[in-house]
Amino acid sequence: MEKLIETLQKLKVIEPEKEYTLRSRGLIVGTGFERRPRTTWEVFSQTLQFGASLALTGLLIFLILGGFSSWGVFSPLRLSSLDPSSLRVEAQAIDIQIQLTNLNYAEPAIKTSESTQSAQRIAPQKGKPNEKEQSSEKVSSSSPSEPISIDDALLKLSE
Amino acid sequence: MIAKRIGVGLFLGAVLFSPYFTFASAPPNCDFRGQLDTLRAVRDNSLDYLQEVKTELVSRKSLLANIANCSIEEALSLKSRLQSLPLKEERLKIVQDQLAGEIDRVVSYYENQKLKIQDLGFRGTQDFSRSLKDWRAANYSPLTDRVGTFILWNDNQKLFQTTQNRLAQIGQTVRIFKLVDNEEIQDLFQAAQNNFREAQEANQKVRESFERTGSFENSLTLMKSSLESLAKTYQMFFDLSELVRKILPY
Repeated sequence: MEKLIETLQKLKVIEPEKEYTLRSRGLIVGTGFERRPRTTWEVFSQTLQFGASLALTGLLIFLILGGFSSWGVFSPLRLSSLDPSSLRVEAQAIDIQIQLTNLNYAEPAIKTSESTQSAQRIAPQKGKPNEKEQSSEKVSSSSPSEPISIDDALLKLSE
Repeated sequence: MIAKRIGVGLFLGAVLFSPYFTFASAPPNCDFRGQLDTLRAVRDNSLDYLQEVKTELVSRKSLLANIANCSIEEALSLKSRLQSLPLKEERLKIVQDQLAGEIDRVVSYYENQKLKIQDLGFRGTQDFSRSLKDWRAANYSPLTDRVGTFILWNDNQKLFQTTQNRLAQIGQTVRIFKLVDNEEIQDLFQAAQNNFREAQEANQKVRESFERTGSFENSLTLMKSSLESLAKTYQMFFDLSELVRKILPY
């Protein structure tokens, strides 16, 4: 009898494990049980999982919103070497130089100082007509807004 | 009569104290239309003969002084453009210095001529103008042609470098995508290479013509030919681009 009373008194001291208590309380309250990571590796692995899921979600959103057209980036034509738009820009620069070479050399009447800075103004001429005739024509036919060149003015003064 | 004299006096005063006539260092106005109009106005003015000749002479000298200043500025602008070329090779720098020296001699000539203007008579201004115009046609104009050719050629070198880089890049692309096996692509790439080689050869000849002292003969024709070959190279690039688009559509 004494033994029975002793055993019953011991039962008062019995307590459930802490983890069991937490899980049970979670189940009853409905918040779920969260087991906190303990080791560094667990912390690292959880962070990695979280990061990977975020990245995958982002990629999915990007593909859905942006469509699949961005795959064109990998096309060989997108390689700068054969891209028609950049080829066109470079070809145009050559055309401009050819035009400058073809330009007749107009006597550089320096109305503005930058005019002589341009290679366009000093581009040499080929097959220029008789200078005297050309100057006379220029002086007589030039509009009031056109500047008169040095040689045109000299021609006028020699008359 | 008094009003007429005052008018002539004011006109002469305006001309005499104008910056052109006083050889001031202010930048010259190189549009001569206004001064030529003034000269015409003197002729149209109903002054007596002697006054008309005197007034016209003053106007003529003023205009000649302005022309001399503008000619100096024109030559100095050309020299400044020439000297702004970023040259690295010693041989080309020598050509640049030679041309700059020739421009300096032109400026000295103008400076000397400017000193003569004040002593000219009416007939003298006519002869002086004719002589200066002829001198410019015989000396200054050929010099500007040579300087212009040299500047244009130097500008072209950037285009040659760009084309060379582009050719190398396309060569890599053709190899990476194993397009060399395609006969048409191979032909186009070969044609592009040949055109570029021709352009380089013509370009080299222009350089040699500069380096031979004073000889710019045919340099403009050669330069044009080199640029045309360069343009043909790009035509091949466009054809290649089109063909690769058909083979590797995206």
